[in-house]
Amino acid sequence: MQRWLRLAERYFEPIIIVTSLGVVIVLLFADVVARFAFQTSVPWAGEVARFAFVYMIYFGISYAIREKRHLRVTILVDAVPSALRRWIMAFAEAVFLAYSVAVCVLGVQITANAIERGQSLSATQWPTGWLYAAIIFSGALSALRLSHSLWMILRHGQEPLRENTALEDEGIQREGAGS
Amino acid sequence: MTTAILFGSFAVLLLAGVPIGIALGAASLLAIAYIPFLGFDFYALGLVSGINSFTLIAVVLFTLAGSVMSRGGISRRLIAVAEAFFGNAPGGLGTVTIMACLFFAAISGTGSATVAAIGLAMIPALARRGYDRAYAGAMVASAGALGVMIPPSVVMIIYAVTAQVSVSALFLAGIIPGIVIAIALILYNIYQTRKGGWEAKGVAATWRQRWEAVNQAKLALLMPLVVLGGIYGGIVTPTESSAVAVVYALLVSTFVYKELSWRELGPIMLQSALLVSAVLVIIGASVAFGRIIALERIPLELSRFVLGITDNWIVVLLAILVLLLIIGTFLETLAAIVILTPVLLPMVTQLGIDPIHFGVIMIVALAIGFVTPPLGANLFMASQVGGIPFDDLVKRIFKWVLVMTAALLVISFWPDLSLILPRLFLGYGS
Repeated sequence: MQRWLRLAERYFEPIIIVTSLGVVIVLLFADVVARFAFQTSVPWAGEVARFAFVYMIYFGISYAIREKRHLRVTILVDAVPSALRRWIMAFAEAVFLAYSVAVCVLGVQITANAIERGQSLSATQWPTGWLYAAIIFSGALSALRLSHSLWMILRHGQEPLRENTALEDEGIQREGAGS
Repeated sequence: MTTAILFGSFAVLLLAGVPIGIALGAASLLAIAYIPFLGFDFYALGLVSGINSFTLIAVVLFTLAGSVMSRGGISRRLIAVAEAFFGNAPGGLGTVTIMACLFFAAISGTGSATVAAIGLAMIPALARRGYDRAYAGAMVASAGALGVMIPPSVVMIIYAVTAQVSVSALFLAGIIPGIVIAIALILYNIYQTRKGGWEAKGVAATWRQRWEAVNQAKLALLMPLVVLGGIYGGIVTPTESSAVAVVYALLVSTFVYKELSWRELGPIMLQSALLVSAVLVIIGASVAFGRIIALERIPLELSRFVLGITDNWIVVLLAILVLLLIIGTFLETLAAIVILTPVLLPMVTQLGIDPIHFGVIMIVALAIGFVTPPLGANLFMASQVGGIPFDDLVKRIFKWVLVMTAALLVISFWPDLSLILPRLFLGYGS
């Protein structure tokens, strides 16, 4: 059980993120090819690609918490003495947590509304609620991850914040650096 | 009152280290509580509708294509081309470096990817040629700004979405200003190398060697043609072209250069997606933010206030440039664009400045922020890939920032530089 939880913690969002991104690439490329080679188009390609993109971003927002990828202004946090820093960091994490819970709750609300009204997407006829549900998952997963990191900050002192600047492609470049 | 709550809480949360997009979202939610006819569900709907955008998909795809292309041999091959053509030009290896950044910018959508890819190879090479290492690092960091100027550019897509202008037109508008910056950097380097006596002229390559270098790099050089040719040939939209770019990059690096294995693909996709999620989180929040400031008539009040002081567009534009340069030093670029565009654009267009031209101005000004301490993304990247102490880079960067600011002034007050290509190719504005 413990092992399954640990695997889920590590791989749950990545599987959805990478799959969604793959869907986006394949659909858009296929649509271009279809237009070129067969003078036809896939009418729902754009809509499904946007759908997948929304899921990619919102699962990415939650996983970015784990990977410390979120962009923060750290001027003040870096400048204050470490005893104070811990409390500021706890405050920031608590705000993020409260925000995620709010997003989750609001997400449930708009999803329920859309399903009640029977709204659907134009090309695929998928219920619009499924699209809105992305922020429910995102809010809930973020809240879980943030509860954990808030606990770590309060219990074990500070957790290093990631610099907000080395943002673009840093991970990639670090890996690719040797070659 | 609502305005004070919105901006006050945003500033407090930002300083406390709340992620930028979350700070904007939380501040917007607080403000909505004080606006009677705007419900919280409006905020939630904005989170989805802001991201549910066909144009924005290009952000992640261009990022991914750049990551795939920059693994391994592409940068080396592009540098070889730059060296074959510019190795014996004035400024020597410095000119080569800046030209290589210019080439690489046409493949990559971001600035620090350009710094990383070119800096990794060129900073040591420049140091071997007698350049001061920190000077070389500062040069590459500055030339990284070309990454956001030359299409494809992720920053430009975000501006286009926020300002509701055409991505294709903005892409074209960035090319000449990008070249202007490159020329400014090259000229400054020539002056410095003469002064420092570092300029060891290389040997002129023969046309045969040049052809060989181009031939080696042809698949990398072809990529901008495929991407931009597709867009401007009217064959594909910018988003579709980004998907084509990804497939092209994958094919080239897997089957031709054999520098990417399929097993690495998952992690690369995840990294690109996370990078993009972390910056696009603010787009969802910005939908409600934009509505709130419009309801509060903030752009209107601001432009009435400023235009009450002066309606001289030169003075106003100068003031905006100062503002952008300051904000660019501490706020992440995409966030700055998303927040400032809806506030400033109405005033600017009232003064008769073209929204596309203003986009170029804003992007150049904020790109200078990339290399300005304390928070210059490109500086950090140059420090990392060049193994240069950050403080040494900071000492060297100041003059480069001045040079880029001079280029910014030229670009700002000469609109035709930005607008001529969109006019020529897209009939923009006519």
